Amino acid sequence: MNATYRRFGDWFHADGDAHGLAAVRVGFGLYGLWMIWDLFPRRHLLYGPDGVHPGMSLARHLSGFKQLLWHFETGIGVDVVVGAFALASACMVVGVFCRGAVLVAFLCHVLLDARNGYASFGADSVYRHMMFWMLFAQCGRVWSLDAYLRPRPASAVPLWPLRCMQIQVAVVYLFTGYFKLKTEVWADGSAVYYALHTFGMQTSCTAWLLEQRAALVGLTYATLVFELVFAVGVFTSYRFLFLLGGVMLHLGIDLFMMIRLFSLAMFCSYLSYLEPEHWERVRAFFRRAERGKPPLTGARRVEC
Amino acid sequence: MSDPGRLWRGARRTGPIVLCAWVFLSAPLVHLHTHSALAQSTVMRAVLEPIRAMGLTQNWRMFAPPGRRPSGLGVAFLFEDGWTDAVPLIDLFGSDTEQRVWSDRGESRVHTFLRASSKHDQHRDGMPPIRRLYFEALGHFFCDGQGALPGLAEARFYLLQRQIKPFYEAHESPRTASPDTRLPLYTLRCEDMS
Repeated sequence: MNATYRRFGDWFHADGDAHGLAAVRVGFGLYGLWMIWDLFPRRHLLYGPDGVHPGMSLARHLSGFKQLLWHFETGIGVDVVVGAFALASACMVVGVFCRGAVLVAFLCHVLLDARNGYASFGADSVYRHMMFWMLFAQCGRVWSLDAYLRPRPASAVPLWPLRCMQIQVAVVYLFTGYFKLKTEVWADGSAVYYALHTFGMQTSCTAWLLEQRAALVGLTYATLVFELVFAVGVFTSYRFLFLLGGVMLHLGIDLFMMIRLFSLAMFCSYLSYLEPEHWERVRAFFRRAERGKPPLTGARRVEC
Repeated sequence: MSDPGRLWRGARRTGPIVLCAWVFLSAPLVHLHTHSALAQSTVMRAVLEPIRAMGLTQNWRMFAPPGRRPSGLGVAFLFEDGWTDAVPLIDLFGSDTEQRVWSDRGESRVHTFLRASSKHDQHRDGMPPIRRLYFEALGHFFCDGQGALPGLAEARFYLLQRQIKPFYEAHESPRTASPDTRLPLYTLRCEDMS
């Protein structure tokens, strides 16, 4: 027991290469920008005073920072929050004031969600959880304008926020698998069939899949099994196999269901599983390529 | 006296563990009934309130389970010359997604909003206030808001349920066998809104 705890402690508290956290920062910065780009034409419809969810008399009963957009319920208020969100996300991408940018993006997202939670979906939850852990991360040490302007000797950074992100992604799959396991339609293999009939979620490919009964049953069980085993499998040496499985699952969802942004949020989250040694391999690859040597071991250069 | 450096090192090691435990171990506790004695205790409220406030509840019920009858919200309008037919709200806010693989900007979010209250949960005390507010706000949109319809007197929201072929014969029941249905959920008069 003690040995297990010690091993967990060593893994959790390890310091290491900063590229993993920087990759997640850039990924979620880009994701934030895409979210704003997607939302922009409908921002007033969803969050504005004349939109589908106006505050009316509700604002009187709400208090606290979270409810800021209820109290300042104007089109300009929405624009300011959306603008700050976009700016913070852009700062995350280029690496300017990284910690502050992560905090502002996180708070803007909380404000929008509090203003109209009905318009939020799973992707928003994933984003917020990952951003929460990023608040504690030294994510601007590399691949950032900050690091370029104020160079510091390369040193290892605490990886525990990255560990929490890894646990978080595993928890997402484990919980959804657990909740599904308890339902009849997932147990009898018909869940994908019914899920594909959800109002407003059909794409031009859905009708074809609805005709493939065996595939529907197979996809239902494959999804269930994948979600239940991911939480353990991704921490084994088969990590990349599970990540590949996740990519395939989400690409499939994207193809047959009109669920936007969720896949991209998960792909950005997968970046947290790249360990220091993986980045070392990537760097070694580029070093070899720079020196003009063939990047693959054992490959021979062909002289013309 | 303890060595401050040692204390700091200890805190740096314990702090992240405590934070991690707080976020992940509170996951099942968040699902406690809000009015239960345990959930009302001071300690539990101090533990759970920040989690709820930051939206960090671990609620990942994605299609667990999907409905056996697809349902969505519909709306009918009353003008001077009578009621219109009930149409799915999704049709009013976006084009037909079945012709495409990619949705328009913001369309998914609008659809999520319109799916949010498409349930027919009967309560002894009538519709819960939070859902009533949802429909009032949506009614405001059609009466005075961005989507105001000139001459609109009333808007009635419906739960529309489509009949689909059950996947297995065992899934057939009187409920799934009934044809497309529409259940009135909420009616509001525009003059009450102003």
